[in-house]
Amino acid sequence: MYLLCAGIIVSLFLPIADVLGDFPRLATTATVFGAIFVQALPFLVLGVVVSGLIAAFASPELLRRLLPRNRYAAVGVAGGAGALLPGCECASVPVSRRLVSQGVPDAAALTFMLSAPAINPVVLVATAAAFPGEPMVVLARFSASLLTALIVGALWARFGRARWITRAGHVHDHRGSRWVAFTESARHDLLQAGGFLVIGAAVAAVLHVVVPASMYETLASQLLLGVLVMAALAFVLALCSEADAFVVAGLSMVPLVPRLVFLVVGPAIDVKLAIMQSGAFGRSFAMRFGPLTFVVATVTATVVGLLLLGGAR
Amino acid sequence: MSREAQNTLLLLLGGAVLVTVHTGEHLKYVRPSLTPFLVVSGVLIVLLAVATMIRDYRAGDSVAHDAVDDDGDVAGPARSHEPGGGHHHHGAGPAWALALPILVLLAVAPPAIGANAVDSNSARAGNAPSRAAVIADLPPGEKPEVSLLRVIQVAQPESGVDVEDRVVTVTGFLAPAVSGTGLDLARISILCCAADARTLRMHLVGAAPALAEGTWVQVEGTIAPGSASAESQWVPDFAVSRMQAVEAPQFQYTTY
Repeated sequence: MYLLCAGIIVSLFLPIADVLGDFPRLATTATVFGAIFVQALPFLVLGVVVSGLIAAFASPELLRRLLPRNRYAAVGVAGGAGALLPGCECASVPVSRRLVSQGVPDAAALTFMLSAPAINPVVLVATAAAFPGEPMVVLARFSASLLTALIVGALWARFGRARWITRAGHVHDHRGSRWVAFTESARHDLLQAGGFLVIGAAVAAVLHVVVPASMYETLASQLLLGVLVMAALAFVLALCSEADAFVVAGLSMVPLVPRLVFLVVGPAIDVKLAIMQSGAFGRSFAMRFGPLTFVVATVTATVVGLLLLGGAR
Repeated sequence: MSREAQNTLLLLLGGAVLVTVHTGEHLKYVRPSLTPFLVVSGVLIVLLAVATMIRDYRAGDSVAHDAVDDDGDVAGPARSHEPGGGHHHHGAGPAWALALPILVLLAVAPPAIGANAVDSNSARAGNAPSRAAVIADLPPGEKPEVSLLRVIQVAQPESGVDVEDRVVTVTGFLAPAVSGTGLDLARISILCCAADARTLRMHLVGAAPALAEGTWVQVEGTIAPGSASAESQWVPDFAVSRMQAVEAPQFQYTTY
């Protein structure tokens, strides 16, 4: 560890920037990595602060009283509660992990994790701003994302196995103050979720620079192909849910339904989230939850899109 | 990773964010509007690290080490799913990865996405027609400074804005023309962060002095009405009357 710190300090004096000038793609990768990380950091900090507050103030008993006893009803309440956390997806992973460790049923916490980044007011306002004069896009995004969260939650409540999730252990009585509980949880979540965010952002940055731009143009009028490619792009590009609407709004050559798929899949599952989720809940969870979410989100968005937006555009 | 090491890493991370904001380097990655949130985040991370360090120090060595083991167990979901352990983490996942952003922000300090990334995969989509319902008139005055985004907007055939004989000033960098001959004035536009960069451009018509591609310039001239059409891929023509090299602005991108 001291080696690591020493390494960081020594590297500050190396002329890395000059060397980078000769490798523009490497430089761009570094910039995109920095961009994803810096953009996500305030939301991550918000997430760990909320998570710390939950650890300090929301006792398992309190949460149990707030949520309905019935598993499926709890999933429904958690889906709606997602509208209350005004962050992007990086905030919701540590928060839902904390909810699980405070005794909230897995399915309800996971529903919250999926709905929070997609249906909160900030994201919806951003979507409306990106699609002026097309309020149906906002409605379609809201309903498809909420439906995705509820369906995945219900499926998990029905078929999920508790042992797939790596637990955070018993809730620790931090011998004393809530301040200690708050700082300890926030600190731990920041280290953990932050570490996985770094790895996810690095993978996304490399893919960003490598995936050919021409992918967009090949899918002009093919609905099925368009849906699949946009879903894959949403996974690969790992954009923040507050920015993705602006990005797809610019892709006017792609029909609306595939663009809706992009908006619904991205906040639910992408490469950075998959890595963060595997860190928070364990690998055997992520291997099941990731593909399930991807398929449900893609199908739900396509169906909702065809119903609300029509197949024409 | 030891608890002391984790605290040091957090302190460095928060410090790196604050230094980056202080020097204005964060504008290579994100929009200026994120600045206050970054400051708050950096301060909170530093405070969290310092608070833990002070508490550990006060608690004394032996007690603190007990607490470490406790916390490691409580907070160690990342540990058990890797029996035999790949990484050397102590309950907090790959926290070592947090060294990477510290390095990138402070030591690597990559350049803003610009001339070297025009039309590459990382600044893919180019000009697009405006979706605004009403396009505002050009600002009044002589040679007003307008953004490249505005030029593309008002040069659309149906913009309803009279651009004839209006001399305007535009800032950007020189790039090889998308049409193949001559030079374009380009600017990278971002919506949220540099990960959603795209290249905006207008074609420079008329005497172009021998400035290298990638040079930041300020040009004065007139917009060819209706030239940003589907046939030109929404790239307007701009008749240059004057061009001079300028310093790159601190915030090199343009936003909506």
